[in-house]
Amino acid sequence: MAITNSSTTPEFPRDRLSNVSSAVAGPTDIAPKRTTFRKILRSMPLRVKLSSLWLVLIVFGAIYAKLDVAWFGGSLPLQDPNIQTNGFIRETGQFGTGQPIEGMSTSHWLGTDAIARDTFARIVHGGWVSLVVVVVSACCGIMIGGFLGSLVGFVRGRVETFVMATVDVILAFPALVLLLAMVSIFEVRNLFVISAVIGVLSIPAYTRVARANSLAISSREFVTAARAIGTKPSRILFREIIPNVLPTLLAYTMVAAAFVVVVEGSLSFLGLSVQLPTPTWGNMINQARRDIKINVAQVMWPSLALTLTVLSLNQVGDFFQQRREIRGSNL
Amino acid sequence: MGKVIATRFARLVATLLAVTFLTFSMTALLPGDPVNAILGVDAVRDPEVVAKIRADLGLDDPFLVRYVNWLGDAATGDLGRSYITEQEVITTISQRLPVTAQLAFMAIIMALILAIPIGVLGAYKQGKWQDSTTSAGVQVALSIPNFIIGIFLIWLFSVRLGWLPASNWNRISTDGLVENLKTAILPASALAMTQMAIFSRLVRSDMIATLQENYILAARSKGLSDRFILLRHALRPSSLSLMTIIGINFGALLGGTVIIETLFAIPGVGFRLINAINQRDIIVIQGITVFIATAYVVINTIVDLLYAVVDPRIRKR
Repeated sequence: MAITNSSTTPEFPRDRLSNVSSAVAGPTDIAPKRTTFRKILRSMPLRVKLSSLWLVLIVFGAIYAKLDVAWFGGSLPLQDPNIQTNGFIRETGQFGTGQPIEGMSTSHWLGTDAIARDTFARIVHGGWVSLVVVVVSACCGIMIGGFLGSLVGFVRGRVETFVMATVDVILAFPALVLLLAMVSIFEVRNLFVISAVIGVLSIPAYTRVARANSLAISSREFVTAARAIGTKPSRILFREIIPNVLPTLLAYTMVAAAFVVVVEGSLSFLGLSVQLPTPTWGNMINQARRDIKINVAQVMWPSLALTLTVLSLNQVGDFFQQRREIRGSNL
Repeated sequence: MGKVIATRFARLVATLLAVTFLTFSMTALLPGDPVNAILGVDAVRDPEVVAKIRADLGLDDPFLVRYVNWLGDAATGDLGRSYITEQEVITTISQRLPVTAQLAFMAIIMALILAIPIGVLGAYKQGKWQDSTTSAGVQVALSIPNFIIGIFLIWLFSVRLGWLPASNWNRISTDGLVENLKTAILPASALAMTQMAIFSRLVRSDMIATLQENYILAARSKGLSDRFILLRHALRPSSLSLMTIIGINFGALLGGTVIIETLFAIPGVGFRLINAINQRDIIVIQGITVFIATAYVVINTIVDLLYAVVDPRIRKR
């Protein structure tokens, strides 16, 4: 497509104009087909359906666990992730019946860890940290990175050079090493700090994706048409560019989320994420690996939760990215 | 060719300046007096030591002056000295670099040895069961974080089978190559798994595209064997994209060595970085970060240049 920004002058190629108008004349074939939720669901292969199901379960579990603690004071049917089940119970004046490093049983579905805490409850609760980090990084990425990228891809010029140079420099660091260096600045590492740091570091990648898409969209005929009828640039940005960049960014979010979950897991595993005893899958793995000679199952459960989540995010992300590509090529 | 090198070199210098500046700004981001952070939490605040640190680091100078001084020192290999272990940062790095480099190198080699046959098989048997099983395996390998792979390798090979040690590191110089490999093989495999998945996916998709080219058809019509076509005609163009992806993934690999060295208690650069973070040894964190980032940027530039050397089409441009 050779239409450039400057071609809104009177020399605008006639044949192209007629093409555009004839395409507009037939609204039935250009109107985007409404993609209903049911249609997307039907086009999913089985593995993507299963992956989505797992992700929904994890998200639901994490929110349920958080509600349990924050609103219901632990009265919902899920055990307290931080109670040692062999500890002293004040009400009865006796010690609990739990044992450290138990196997699977009806009272402790996935057994207990080294200090007799219920592993199932810890895994369900552990999803919360991953969920928050993913949501914060996606919000930062889409709102700041997506906006910046769309803007500079549309406006070009010096702003673009400056923004993209900054992005390139940040992406020139090995991601985990930069994250470690940033995290090491903070003395207190709580969920707020961790998600903020990961959120800020997510911005460059989103900016790059958004800019590439914005560049392609800015040279499309409907943007040229909008310019030709004298639409304000800010309106073009918000009504034409960003709505078209957004679906690609949302598809990218899934893939980015998989990366973020691994990164947070790695930080937790190194003991540099949220402080103990808050359960995360990474710190559960790190604690359980010390007893790997006695019991491998306690390492396996959180590892399985983490791996399945990453695998599911990859599957769903690939699915949406492929969908996006196919739709993009039809346009 | 000369022009390519010149522009790449200019970009390299610019990126390095920006990267070092960003890392150096870390100290400016520290809350409160940097001396407190440098001395660590438990250190006794001896006014003499505080004055010495202030003078050493030129903390009374403006920020930009400090950066230029620090950059000048860094360029001559002086990354400062830890106030906790009293060791020069550059000495720490040079002692530990061979270990990390060996791990990274072994991981790349192992990944390539596995990835090329898997990728070629997937492309050759595209859509058949060989392809779908290897693709599924690659998908899974891509999704397992390397520390989980590491833990289960330890469980299998040292806890259950007792073949290999679960941690520690034997040096080639003192213990010989065999003992060294015994300690290196598990961590290197843990690192290699993710890389293997990425490489083999690339080889497969690349090769599927290449196999549809006309010159493959020509080779086939000459009656050349499948094996010859696959290895000599189809694999060669893929080596270029492989090179690029190795360069791009080198950052992830370096990040991986940090985790894996910590898991296996290997005395490499990454393990030292984690120690420094736990001790809040800012000088060491800064030095190692700058070193790793520089290495990554330089390696990517070299890969880019090699690309131009290998591919004549780029050289002529």
